[in-house]
Amino acid sequence: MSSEPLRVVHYINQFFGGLGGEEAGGAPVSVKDGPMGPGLGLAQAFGNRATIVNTIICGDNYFNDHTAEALSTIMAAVGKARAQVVVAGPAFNAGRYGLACGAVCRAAREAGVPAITAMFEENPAVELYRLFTYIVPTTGSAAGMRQVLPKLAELAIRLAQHGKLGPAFAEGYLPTGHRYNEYDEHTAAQRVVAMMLKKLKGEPFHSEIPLRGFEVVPPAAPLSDLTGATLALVTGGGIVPEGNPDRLKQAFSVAYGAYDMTGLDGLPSGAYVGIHGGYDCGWANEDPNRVVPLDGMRRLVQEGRVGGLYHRFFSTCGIGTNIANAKRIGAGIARELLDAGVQAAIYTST
Amino acid sequence: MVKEAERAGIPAAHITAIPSVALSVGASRVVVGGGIPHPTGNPDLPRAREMEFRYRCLELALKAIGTAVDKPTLFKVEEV
Amino acid sequence: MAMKLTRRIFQVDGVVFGERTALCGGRLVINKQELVELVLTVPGVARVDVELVSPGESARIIHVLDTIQPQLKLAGGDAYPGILTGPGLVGNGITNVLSNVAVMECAALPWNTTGLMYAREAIVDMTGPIAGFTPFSGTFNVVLRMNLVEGKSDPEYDTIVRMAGMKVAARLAETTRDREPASTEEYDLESRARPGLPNIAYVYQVQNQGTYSNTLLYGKSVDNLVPTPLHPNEMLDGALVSGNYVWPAFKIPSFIHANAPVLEELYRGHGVTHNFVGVVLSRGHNYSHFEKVRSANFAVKLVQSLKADGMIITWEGGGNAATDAMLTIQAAERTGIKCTALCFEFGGPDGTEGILLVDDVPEATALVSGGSIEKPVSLPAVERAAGGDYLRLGREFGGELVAATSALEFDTTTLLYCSGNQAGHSRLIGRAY
Repeated sequence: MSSEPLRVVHYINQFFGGLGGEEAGGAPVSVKDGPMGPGLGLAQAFGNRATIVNTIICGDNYFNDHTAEALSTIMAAVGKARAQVVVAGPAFNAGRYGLACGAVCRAAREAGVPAITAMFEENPAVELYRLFTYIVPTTGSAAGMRQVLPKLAELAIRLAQHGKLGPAFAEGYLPTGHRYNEYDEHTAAQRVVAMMLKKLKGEPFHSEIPLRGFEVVPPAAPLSDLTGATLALVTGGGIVPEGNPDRLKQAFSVAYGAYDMTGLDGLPSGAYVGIHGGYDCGWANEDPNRVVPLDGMRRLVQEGRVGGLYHRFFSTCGIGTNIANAKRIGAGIARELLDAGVQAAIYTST
Repeated sequence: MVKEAERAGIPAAHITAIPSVALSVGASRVVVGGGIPHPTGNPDLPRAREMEFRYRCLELALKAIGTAVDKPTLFKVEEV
Repeated sequence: MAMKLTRRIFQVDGVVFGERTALCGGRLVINKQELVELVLTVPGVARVDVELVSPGESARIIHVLDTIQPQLKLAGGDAYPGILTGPGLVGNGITNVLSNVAVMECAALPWNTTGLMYAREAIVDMTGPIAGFTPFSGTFNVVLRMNLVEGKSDPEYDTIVRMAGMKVAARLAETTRDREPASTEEYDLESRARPGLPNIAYVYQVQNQGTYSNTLLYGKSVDNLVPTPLHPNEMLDGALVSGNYVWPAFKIPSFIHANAPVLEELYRGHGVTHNFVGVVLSRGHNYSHFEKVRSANFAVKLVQSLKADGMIITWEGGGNAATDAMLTIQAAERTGIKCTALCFEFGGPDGTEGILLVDDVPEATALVSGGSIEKPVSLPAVERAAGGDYLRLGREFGGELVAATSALEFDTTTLLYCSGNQAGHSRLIGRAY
């Protein structure tokens, strides 16, 4: 191991760079030798292990108005400094500064230089950049500067040495959203009992799986008179024509199929089968209308309560399908419905 | 999946036997169906009555489509 | 319900074929022909080969259905009641356990149906990157490679493989009779309970969706079960037997039902850090929301009657079962019972895709991760295959055969036996970076 100090480039905004407050927000990128502002505290924590070669200062407004230009100047400076790690901020709860720190770190990482920043957990930049950089949590205001700098310095050094950090919980940065399988020291059974004992004693414990958070989609406007409307049938229950012509997967779906029902009064048993890997398809195979209610829809159309039924039904297997794929599948079906002039839909899931 | 239709402005009724899941993921118009392996069926019923049950489910779906909602809302079939 | 069980633990250091089936020192010797003939007494088995697979071998076991630990009850009824014998109560008396020997039923069951209810390929690697997913890379495995006669129904095939496995397990356990074990363990809740410690109950939720996806309690599937109290000793003696072959990652073999890791852990700290007050058995995969809520409420009622302060719940199976369990957690927390649970997670290859859980409730704030099943895995080629020669994959595409010893790539771990870690047996964990 070389005892040469690690080479660090530090990014800060106009305020921490001493150029001024809001009025100096338009300041373009400038590169100074050595540490300044919060970098002085970082340098102290680095000791002789790392050196801040350059400090890059940029006005927050300038960065966000001329992002591409600013990033290219900044990355040129990072390259010229032969930086082994880029440190940005801390940005605390400053929105535009946070965005700049996130973007700089992301660009550095994409250029192969490890990068780390620090900001308040609720800074909007956290959601945007947590996947692309390490973010050390801070207080909401710069009052927490003294506490965060040593932590930021330690992680920056380890990052420069190893290229990556250990798990978020152990290292103390904000979870990036990435999760990987590992082997723990203890079995899951031992951990679930240990967690129980902590919970019973009122001691702090850390749930290992965060709960789901879902995007809220505003409901579409209602359609009360359906007598002139075309409806469509969609299912996550994996009903397909016998032989599964589109080779839909039984689980972890990535695609959907659309199947013609022209001339059918109901889905005939035998000609349509369930391939869904999550439920006993026996009942569906006996009568596929139990999952794709074609016979009932035909009756509603015949009685004039519904204008018409779109001639294809859509099918996929809802089991184990992740949100990104479900969204993509759902959006693909929605597009086809819009193109076909379908005004309302009935989804069934198993 | 069903949220994408609503996002596109197409009101969509979601017939399911596990409404808690549908509601918690944010489906807007949730209709309680017959059972997990047969959302629009009930194999315990004689055929004619099962058909009637399916028809009721669909009627309720139409009602859900015709109802203005501002958040995930549950529609239940009255007993057949 | 006081029960007292002594387990006499026989741990072997090798299993080999030989003249006479017997325990010789630390070795289990097996007369192969004897076992072949024993299996052939089960009507419906056309052919069988017995293969021995030991820890550390470059070997892959496929077509794994159920796995059984050989147990012999010297007093207090018969092990695995209701399978080879009547449904006599167990949990008391003395049981000999061949602790690290596993009888594996392996057969390519007919693929008669689509959908859920067929036996998917189930894979165990004894070494390499996935060995840690399954407890059976660490056991001496007696693999029954069976060919079954044609023309039987699915319920018949289900019974045939179970009978074969149970007969062999019983025969091997018989070798411990009149032998002295290396160690003994006492399982007694009542005498060791200490006042003042918090009470913990264990809700054990099993899968039951029909033939090939069932769990047997004293020999009967729990299809119609409302949650019922069990003494943990009943589980140790094999009151629960698996008939679940649909998703290898999620199924809990009989071997693990009889050695449930959370139960063992609760026993370990019993009277020291907490009082273990008992098990509530519940059935997951109830068919409707109504039935799920009903089952959850019954389970919590029993947990309350055990005077539990805390409840641990684990479950077998995928998303559907998660809803049953989450409703149970919700019902318990609402009555003031503190819950922890363990479950596998999704999340895609790097954890960023979509959700980690299929279902949850706001009350589920103490979850242990059993690892993600959505991680791509590469299995290197192995020297030897047991249980069968060809993997059967891609049922929904019409099926394909792949040489069992070849290198394999999967984009999820669903076909890897016990990789869902739902009983808590492995150290696998999904970690946030």
